[in-house]
Amino acid sequence: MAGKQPQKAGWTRRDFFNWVLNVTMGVIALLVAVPAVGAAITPAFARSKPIWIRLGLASKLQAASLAAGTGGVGSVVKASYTYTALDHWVKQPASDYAYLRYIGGSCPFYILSPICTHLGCHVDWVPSANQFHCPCHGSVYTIDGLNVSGPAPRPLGVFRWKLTNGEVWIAREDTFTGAWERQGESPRRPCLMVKQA
Amino acid sequence: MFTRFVRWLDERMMVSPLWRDIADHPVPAHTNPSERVSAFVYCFGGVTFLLIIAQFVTGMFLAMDYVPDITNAYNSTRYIMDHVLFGKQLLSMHNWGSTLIIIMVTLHMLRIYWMGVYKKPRELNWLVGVTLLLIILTFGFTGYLLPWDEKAYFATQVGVSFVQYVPFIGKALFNIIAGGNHIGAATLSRFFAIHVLFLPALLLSFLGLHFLMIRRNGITGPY
Ligand code: FES
Repeated sequence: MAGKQPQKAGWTRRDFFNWVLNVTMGVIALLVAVPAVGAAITPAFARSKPIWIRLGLASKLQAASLAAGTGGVGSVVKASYTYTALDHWVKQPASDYAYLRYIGGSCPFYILSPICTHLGCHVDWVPSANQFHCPCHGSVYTIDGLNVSGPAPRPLGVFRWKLTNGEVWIAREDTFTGAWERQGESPRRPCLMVKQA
Repeated sequence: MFTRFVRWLDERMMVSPLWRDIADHPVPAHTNPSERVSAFVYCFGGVTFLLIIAQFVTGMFLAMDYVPDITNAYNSTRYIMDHVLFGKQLLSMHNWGSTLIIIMVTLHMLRIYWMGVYKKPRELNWLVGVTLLLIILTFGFTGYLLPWDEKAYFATQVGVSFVQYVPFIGKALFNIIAGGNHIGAATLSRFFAIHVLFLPALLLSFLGLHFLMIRRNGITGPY
């Protein structure tokens, strides 16, 4: 075609509009992606408060533990409890149990979560071995909840607890075991009694 | 009648060449079971695709009566089994279909492996195929939780717990997959969304790529 200018090299009007279009689409994609990804990864930052659950009369729990043991030394007993579990938008009655032991002293109860730190089965208390055995893959814990064999990566969770009007209350945390979790093996038997204000 | 309809359609959107390309083109004799019975091994992928279509259909109708909420998921599953006409059959077909798909993709993959089909230029399609396998396994994993019975709950608890062992981000990963610190209400709704919305979209896109590449590369020569 006579008189037609050859295509100009460099920054043409077409390039400019392409650039505008790409940037606009990029911004829109970002506007969609940020809230979408944000909603998906919210749970990674979820923090929630513990709920306090009544376990029973301290005197009764103490008596039960002493009865399970010998010679005035308390042994492990199952202490069942019920509570209202709030799971996101669902409120449901729930029940579970804790392994309680009367150990005397300034922090008289030692309360373990029964949840195996491997994959979450409930461990069994085996009085003859003085150990907790997991029925799922054979993890073994000492009476203090320290993992001594099997695939369990951590000791059993320990409940924080408090004494109110002669009753024992435990704090159910929003953790894997439902209790406070030890990362290593020390302190061997943490005292988690919460003093009343 | 049908020919006239096709001609009418062709005048408007030219479907015949498309149809020929998708479903009515000749295939080599060595892949034709009516020529040689042992060629049935070439059917595993196609059978998987048919099963996937069946899963889509049964799944859509199951979703009419299913509720992805922890207080009602189990009840609605029971309702499908006990009170919906052919509901038990529908659920069983979806259930058995998922198992058959796993078997069929495994056979399909073995055929590809043994015949060396993954070699250049088809290695890209092998990668797409492996992605499809992962998508299908995720379908199975997320679908397993939906009836919300004990087996589903604890299988998912064990399965999701594996990711905790990823270094550094294990805990965050667990929370993102489970929707919280525990397997619970958020896990079920997440898994449901993944099972019926995210994965089907992914599956269809990758199946499209898979089939497109088969047509581009053609079928491998006699084994
Ligand atoms: S869950 Fe206890 S050993 Fe695996």
